[in-house]
This record gives sequence, structure tokens and C-alpha cells, in this order.
Amino acid sequence: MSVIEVKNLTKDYGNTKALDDISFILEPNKIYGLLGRNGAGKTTLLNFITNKIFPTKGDITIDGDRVFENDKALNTIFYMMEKNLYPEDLKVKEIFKWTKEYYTLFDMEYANNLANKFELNVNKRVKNLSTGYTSIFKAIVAMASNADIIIFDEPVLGLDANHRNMFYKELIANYSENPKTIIISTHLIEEVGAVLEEVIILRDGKLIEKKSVEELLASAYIITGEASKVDEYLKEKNYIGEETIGKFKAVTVLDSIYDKNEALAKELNLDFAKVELQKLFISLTSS
Amino acid sequence: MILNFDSEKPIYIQLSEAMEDDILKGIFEEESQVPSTTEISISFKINPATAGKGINMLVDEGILYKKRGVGMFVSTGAKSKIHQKRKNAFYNNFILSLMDEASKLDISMEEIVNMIERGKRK
Amino acid sequence: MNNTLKVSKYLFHDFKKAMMIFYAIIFSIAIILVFLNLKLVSQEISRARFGGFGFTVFIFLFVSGLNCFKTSFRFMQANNISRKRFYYANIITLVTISAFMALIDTTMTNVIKLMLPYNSLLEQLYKNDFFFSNFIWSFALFTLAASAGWCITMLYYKCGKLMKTVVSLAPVLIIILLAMLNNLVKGAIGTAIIKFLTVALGFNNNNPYMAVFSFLIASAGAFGLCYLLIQRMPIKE
Repeated sequence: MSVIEVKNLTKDYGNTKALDDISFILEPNKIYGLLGRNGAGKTTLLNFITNKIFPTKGDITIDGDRVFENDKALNTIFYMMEKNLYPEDLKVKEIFKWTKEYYTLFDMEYANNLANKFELNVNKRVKNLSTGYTSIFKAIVAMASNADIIIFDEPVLGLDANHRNMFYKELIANYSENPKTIIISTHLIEEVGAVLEEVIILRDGKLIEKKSVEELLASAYIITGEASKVDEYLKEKNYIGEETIGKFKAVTVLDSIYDKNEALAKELNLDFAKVELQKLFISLTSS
Repeated sequence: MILNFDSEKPIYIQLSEAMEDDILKGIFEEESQVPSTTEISISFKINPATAGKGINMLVDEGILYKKRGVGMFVSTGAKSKIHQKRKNAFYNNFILSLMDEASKLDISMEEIVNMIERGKRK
Repeated sequence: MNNTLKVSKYLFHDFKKAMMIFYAIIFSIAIILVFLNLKLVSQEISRARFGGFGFTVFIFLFVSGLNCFKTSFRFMQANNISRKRFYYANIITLVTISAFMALIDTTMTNVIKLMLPYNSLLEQLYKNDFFFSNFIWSFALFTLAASAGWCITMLYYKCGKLMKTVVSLAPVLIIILLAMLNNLVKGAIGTAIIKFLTVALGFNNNNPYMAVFSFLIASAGAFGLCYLLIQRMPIKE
């Protein structure tokens, strides 16, 4: 059990707020997606959760214990950072070895198996790895760490389609075998959408959604048809993300899919479509 | 099994329908083992909770059953159950709306039957 | 193993290579000197006296201290090790290495003396060459070198660009300022500093233990400053 609680987290950099009063609770053993555009504050948030940097205000606890300089709480988390913090001169296998010193449940055999599958040469030094292989190497260390909470910040950075596919599959296999809390921070939502159980969406340092993917997708739908008719349908409705091509218009309606006005749509000759996570995300996060 | 992430249906419903299709087609025979939730979630890269939801729907309907420590199997009589379920759905989704539309357009029962006959020949 | 010691284990590992290279060079030089001396002595030209390996260790540890932060701090942060734990592990490592190198240096001094007219640093300064006093004095000096190096590198890491310049220029400015003040008071400050150092280092009564005490106090001060510096140390590019 490792419940993560973030309370009123705020970080000021001069006059700008990198994070603005963020609060949420993450239940154990779920796969979360931390979504947001570049600069929305995703990495900053993760850096706070793992006590890499210090907030202006607010608190983070794991099972009620503050993470601040707390080795016990920090050791329940493995954080794969986007940035490389590993000594450039060490070989991959040496980093496996050292990681096992600090994460005693680190599974060496599994790490080597994964390295084999991804064709990662464990005798290579970190500095000689390509961007893609640096991501792969860090992701492997994270997956093999056997920590209760694993955080991936942009895990598929520089990976080709095949490796991305392999990564998601290995991640699900890992999770199925050994349920744990997984947080994936990424901007590649289309690929990862189905893997996630819940999403946390940040925009300009603010938390704008924390919902299960299913709920989120059920909270909006797309209506399409002739522009003036669509406008008529939209009266007194909350909507975002308009797309117009000639006389045709498609609009994302922020309303439960169970409250669609089917009769009106039929009368106006309009069609419904399911909103995709990616599109909904773009609509929610663009100003 | 094919899942379509762009479809309007939630993934877990698609999954249970795809599984039913495969049972109807005989890809999964009655009393034979079907892929586990883990296998399904890995091969389709979907969240295990989502896959579990789809599979559990079929378990609840008595189409699949769990053998402890072994896995998930197709129940005896699953095929006819699915048939019956689909027939009901066919009635609800197509026949009722057909009758509804027909009454709006003043189409008689006889005409409907004729139309169906004509459609069959095509 | 205790987790702090596991961090030390990595830090020792990190030191190992540099130390091996260092001793390879020092031992080679010592051997060459012994060899040359034997030849020179046979020609009865040599009246030269050698010394100062202790000083090279001092420099080595100072530079090691300077290099002992960024990489290991980042690596330990990658493993979610707290700053506190990293701090204590570092002290254990630096103090142990200082003691180890003091032991080697003292032993080496005694071995070389059998073959060369060699004076240890301690002997040159205090006319004292007991094994124990040499060891404890070298240990305190080396600890000071390592802690000072570590402190400076941490200060640089923590500071922004502007502060870095300030920190770099500060000693120069202080020296210039002191020199100017010194002129104003007709050398009184200079005299006072020299007097203070003479007492602090035990030169007035050839007492190396006074220096040991001063070095350890200064090291404790450096480590104390490090403790303050590491408190809210963020990860930087």
C-alpha cells in the first residue's frame, strides 16, 4: 500500500507560478497518466513528489509520511527522470549493480532479460548510449527496481515505434505480474491512452482534471454536421474545440455522453462521434 | 480478436463483443481455455483493469467461467447464450426502430415483409 | 549493510581509481628517487634532502574533495537517497580516506627514510618525527583538505551565476581589503594574522597537536557549512 497525497502544492518562480495550489490523492496499484503540454508543470510536480526540489508551499506524503528528506518514503518510489542523473562513465551493468544496493528488491535477472529483449548492450557506458537507448536503459532500471511506486517521465523519448510498442507491453506485463502504482508523464497520449486507468491533466501549473479515462471520455462527445445546425444544437451547451471545414463543423461538447440530445440531433441531421483522449486533451489544454 | 480504439464503444465492451464473436465463430470452443486478462491486456496494450472489466462481463453472463489457478474457460452452452443475447439485441436495436420508423412512414406489415424478402434476394 | 554505508561504498568505489593512479605515480617517483640517490651517493655528490610527499597528498585530497560532489550527488538522487544520508556517507568516506592516506604517508616516510635523506612535512615544520604524531597530524591536515574542497564545490553547485562570481571574487577582495587596511594600521593586521597562525599551528612551541586541533576545528567548520549547503540542494543542469 502506498497512497500518495499531494496537498496545496505551490511553487513560485518570481512572479510566475510553476505550480498553483495542486491537491490530489493517488490510490495504490493503478496506472496513472500525467498529461499536460510542455511547460505545464509535469516534471516540476514529479520532482516535488520525489523531493528533488522544494515547494514554496504545500506537502507531499506517502502513506501519511512526508517525503521531505525521508529515506523510507523515498525508497518506496523509483523515479525515472527525463534528465540523465547517472554517471556517464559507468557501464549499464554497473548501474544495475549499484541500483540493487539501494533498491534491494531490484531484479537483476529481469533487468538483464529486458536488456536482451531491447538489445541493450549492458557493457556500454552511459555516455555512449543514443537518446533512445538512454530512455530504454532508464526504463529498464525503473521496471526492475520493484518499487511500490514507479514514475516514468517521458519514458519513450527517442524510441522507435517498435520499441515503444515493446515498452508498453513489458510495462503491462510487469504491472500484471506485480501490481504497483505507475505514473507515466507523457505528451504522446494517443499511444498510452488505453494503458492508463486514470489521468491527471495539468495546464499552466494548475490541475484541471483528475478522472478515470473512462469517465473522462464519457464526459464529452463530438457533434458534427452543417455549421448553422451545429450552432443550433450548441445553444446553452458548454463546448470546446471547434473545427470548421467549409460548411461542415465538428465541436467537442462538454457534457455527459448519456445526456446527448438524440432527438434534436436527428431533427437537425447531425451526427455524434466519440471524443478521443488525444483530441479531448488538446481541447482541454489549449487556451 | 480486433479492437478498434476509434470506435464509439468503450474498449471493455468492444473486448467482450470481440470475445463473443470468436466464440460464435468457433475460434474458442466451449470448454476450451481463452486468453487470460494479462495476455489480453499485454497484446492489445490496454489497462488490465479495462481488460478485466470486459472479461468479467462475460463471466457474469455465464459465458465464461474461472477455473481456480488454471484460467478462464468457455462455458458449455455459451454459444447458444450469445445467440440468444444477440437475437434480443437484434430485436431491440433493429426491429423496434424499424417498426417505429415504419409507423411514421405508414408502412404496413405486409409491405415490410415484402421489403425484407426483396432485401434477402440482393 | 546499513544504507548510509552503502552510499559510502559507492563513494569509496568512486575514489578508488584516482587513488590508485595517484599512488602509482607517487611510488614510481619514490623508487626513482631512491635509485638516483643510490647512484649519486656512490659518487659522493649528493647532499640533497627530499621531502614533501605529504603535500602532494594534501593537494590530491583537496582536488578529490572538489570533484566529490556533482556526479555522486546526482547519482544518489537518481536512487532517491536523501541529502542527509548522502552527507553523512560523504563524511565517513572523506574522513576514512584521509586516515588511510595518512597511514600510508607516514609508513612511506619511515620506509623511505631508511634509504634516503628524506624529511616528512611534519619534520620540516616541527622537528618532530614520531610515527603517531606524524600520522595524526597528516590525518587532520588531509581531512581539512578534503572538507575544504568538498565545501567549495558544493558552494559553487548551489550558487547561481551571479553568486558564483561573488564567491569567486570574495577571497581576492578580502585579501586586497586586508592588505589596504594593513597598510593603514602599519602592518598590525599582518602581524596579528601571523601571530594567530603561529599559535594555531603550534609553531611557537613546536607542538604539532595544536595544529591537529586547529585543523580538526577548521574541518568541522567546513563540514558544518556543507551541512547547511546541502539542506535544500536542488538538482541542477
